[in-house]
Amino acid sequence: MSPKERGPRNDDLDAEIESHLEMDANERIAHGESPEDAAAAARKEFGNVGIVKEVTRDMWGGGGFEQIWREVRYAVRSLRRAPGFAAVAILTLALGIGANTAIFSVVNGVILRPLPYPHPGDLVLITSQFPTLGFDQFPVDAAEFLEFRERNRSFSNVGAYYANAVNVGGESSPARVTSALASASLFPTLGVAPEVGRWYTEQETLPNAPPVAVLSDELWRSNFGGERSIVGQKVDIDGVQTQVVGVMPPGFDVHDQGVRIWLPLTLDPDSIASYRGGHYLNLVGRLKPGISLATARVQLEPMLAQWTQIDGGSAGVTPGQKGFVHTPNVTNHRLRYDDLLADIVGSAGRALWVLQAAVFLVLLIACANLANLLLMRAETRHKELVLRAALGAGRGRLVRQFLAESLVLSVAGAAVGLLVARWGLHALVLSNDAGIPRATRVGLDAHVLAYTLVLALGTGIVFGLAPMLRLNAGAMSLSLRDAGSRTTSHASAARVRRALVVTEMALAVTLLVGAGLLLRSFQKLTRVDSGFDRSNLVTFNLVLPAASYTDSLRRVALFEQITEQLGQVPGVQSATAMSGLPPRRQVNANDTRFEGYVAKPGIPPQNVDYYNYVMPNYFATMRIPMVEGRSYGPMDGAKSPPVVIVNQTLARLFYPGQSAVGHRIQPSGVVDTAKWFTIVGVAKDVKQGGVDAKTGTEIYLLNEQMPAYEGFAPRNMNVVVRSTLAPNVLSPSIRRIVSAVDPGLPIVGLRTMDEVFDDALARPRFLAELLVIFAVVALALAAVGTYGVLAYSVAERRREIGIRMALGASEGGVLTLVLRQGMTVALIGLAVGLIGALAVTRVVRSLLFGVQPTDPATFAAVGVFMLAVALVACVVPARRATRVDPLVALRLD
Amino acid sequence: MSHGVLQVDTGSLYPALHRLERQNWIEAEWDTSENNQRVRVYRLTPAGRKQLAVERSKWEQFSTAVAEFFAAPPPEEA
Repeated sequence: MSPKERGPRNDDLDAEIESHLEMDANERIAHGESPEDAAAAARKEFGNVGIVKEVTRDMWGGGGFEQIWREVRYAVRSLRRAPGFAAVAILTLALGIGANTAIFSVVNGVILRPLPYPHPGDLVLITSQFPTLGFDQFPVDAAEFLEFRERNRSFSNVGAYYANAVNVGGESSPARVTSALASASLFPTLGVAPEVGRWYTEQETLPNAPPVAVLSDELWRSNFGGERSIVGQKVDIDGVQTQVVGVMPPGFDVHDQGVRIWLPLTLDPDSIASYRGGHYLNLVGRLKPGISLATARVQLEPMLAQWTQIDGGSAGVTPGQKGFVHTPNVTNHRLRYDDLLADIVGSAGRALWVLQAAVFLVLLIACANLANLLLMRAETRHKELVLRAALGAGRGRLVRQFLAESLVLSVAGAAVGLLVARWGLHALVLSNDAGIPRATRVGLDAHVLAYTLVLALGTGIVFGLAPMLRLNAGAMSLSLRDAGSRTTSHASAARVRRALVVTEMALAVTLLVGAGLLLRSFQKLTRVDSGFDRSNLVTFNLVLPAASYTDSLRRVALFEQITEQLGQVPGVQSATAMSGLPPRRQVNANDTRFEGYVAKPGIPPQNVDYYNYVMPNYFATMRIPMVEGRSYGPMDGAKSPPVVIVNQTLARLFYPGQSAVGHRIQPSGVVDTAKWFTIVGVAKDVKQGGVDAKTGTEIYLLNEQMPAYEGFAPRNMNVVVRSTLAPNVLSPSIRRIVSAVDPGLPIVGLRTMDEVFDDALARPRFLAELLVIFAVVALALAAVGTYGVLAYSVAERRREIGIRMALGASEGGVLTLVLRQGMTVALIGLAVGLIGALAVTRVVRSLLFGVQPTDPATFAAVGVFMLAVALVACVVPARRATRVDPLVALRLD
Repeated sequence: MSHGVLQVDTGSLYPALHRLERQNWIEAEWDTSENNQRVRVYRLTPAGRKQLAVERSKWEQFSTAVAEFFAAPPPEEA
């Protein structure tokens, strides 16, 4: 039957029943009843008009679509009759599905979405390793890049890049943007064509070629108005007039660096020897067709052996030791291949999967709650169900009806959930820099919507199945006569409900333990001693363009001038400058000579993790205590004998059992190898390379001595101001002082040192925060579930409780009775959950810091917390039970 | 009427009628009753008559069997 015929037929049925009722009423009026009584009696004898109509319509049959549509209409109608239930169910689902959708969109955008290049699976990140120095992933040097391109047989093309930052643009408003020095081969390797103009050629990467640049779409639009005529024009880049030759399409990037401008990596094939040991390049290779990453790794071994044969062998010699030739080899300087996407995602992948698992557990708990709600609803609708069955509605029809109802709920929940997800994504993920790669392009795309739909249908079916357990439990075998009775104790249904609550509690406990562990890790991270007093410190970064600051004396003078003037600003105690900003410095790993060095087991190779160029008042301003010796002072002039201050870790490693003060070392790159730097002090360790990492070795070199002894001074320095004033209050003074010295210098990253450290902890904080939110939601859902089941059971047992009280049971006795029932369920849930947590928390081991996955304190705290919440959830229905009036309860039947 | 033995709400007649109609055992049309009321009249179709004969003979067999069971003398006790 087509839906068109359906309408008249419905009208027919309505008219038929109407005439039936009318005839019956007329007959009764003829027998002397009043018209009102007659109509009421006719209806009473007829039964439930609505249900009769529904069951009758079922008899008409109909096509698949039509049946589904009818089920949906019934479901909507029956849910309208229970708006409270429907609202609770839809909101619970909206939260559960919304949170899942939000997290999945991050997982999808960060981990699953392929990189935006053709055949992205063929792209490999190539880095190097120094096993004897403990560097597992390290850049390669330019010689290695040129030789690797020549010699490898696995890659169709190999490109090199080095991410940095440059000052772009005019005199008035210079901008600091992320740049990449890239080989001409990087673009064919990545396989993306420019949107406007062209990529630069190999010739343009040779020394003395005229300077050229390729813009990103983002920089093109923000700073150059998106005019195509930019190609061919010259722009000021770090003080050099540079011709723009092309613009890359939107989103083009390498290794999620956020590169805004591409500049040629200038290499001279004739100077290969001079490039050895300067490790700063990352390589991206495109595998040849038919060659897998595993095959390429096998092909690497003969290549490493070949290098030793051609360029000289140094296998067995530690880098930094005499006789070490700086070329790749099989043992102490290997090359390493990683899938490019996997490397970009890195450790964020595990964190995101943990979040996805956690939020899925929340949804499972929500489903269990809804299953319980539907079970109870099925019980209260027991009479209606029996009536339908008696009228001839088939069992399959009732099953379909339940499923339709739960699916209508879950789809409605998912629709609201999408709004929740949109909001949640912005509030929780996108609005704060969570330290997650590729996060900028996370959104609700088709994959995410498909996931949400699957989730909606899946949850609908899962919790819709619950009342069917009840159907199986014998609802349909009950006769109509029993339908009105409330005394039947549905033992099996009660068991199902309790099992669901135990499951909820167990899942919530597991989540709480996981969240607790990560929260404790985060707390421990924030309490790590950074080595200096980071309160009341404001910092910003200045980079002097190479073209206009060729003279290293001028560089030193500029930073002296700026810090001196800043020190005189009211409210500023002192100002200094340093080249390295903790806590996320890239390791330098510079070869460094130690006077009288003897290679011994336990003594590291002659290499220092961090070089820090600082000004004399550095230690006083940062409040880094000197452990031994002295700090820098007026006696250390630009041309006085060279001095150095080392950190505790270096002193301990290189001078075990003796004082480091008075020993001499020689940093790499000295002008005169006869000059040695005397250690005058040992400073407390500062967390340079990560709050959660072991402190590396570090030397502090005096910036003003660098021109004389190293023939160089850093262009990139971080100014540090100790002041109680906030950055926004200090900002005008800083701008005035800097622009008075050089109006072309952009001030970058002006913020407090506390903010710098907070940023470094963004990811662990993000993870801990979200997990705590999910765990609390899970516990709240589980508590509501416990409350609901207990309240229902109290209502069901009112008569029994009434009898007990009539027989003299005390209020306390009744309270204990109900509490015991509830807390038994909670305790079983707790026990199962803690055992589950022991098994599961191993997964998060790599995300923890200073906390064991089996941390007894966390487990104990979760246990106490969870029992307290369960107790509250049980007390309310228990107290209600004590207020049962025996007389009322007994009169109920 | 069946002497009030089967007490069911009268409304339950309709699902049953419509099920029979779907099997094409009965057909229905609107008509007017003697006191001028629009009523729906159900009639057995030829197929319905045949089905009725089948069901009736089944029922007769069953009720005969039951009647014979109760009419038979109780077995002697050992």
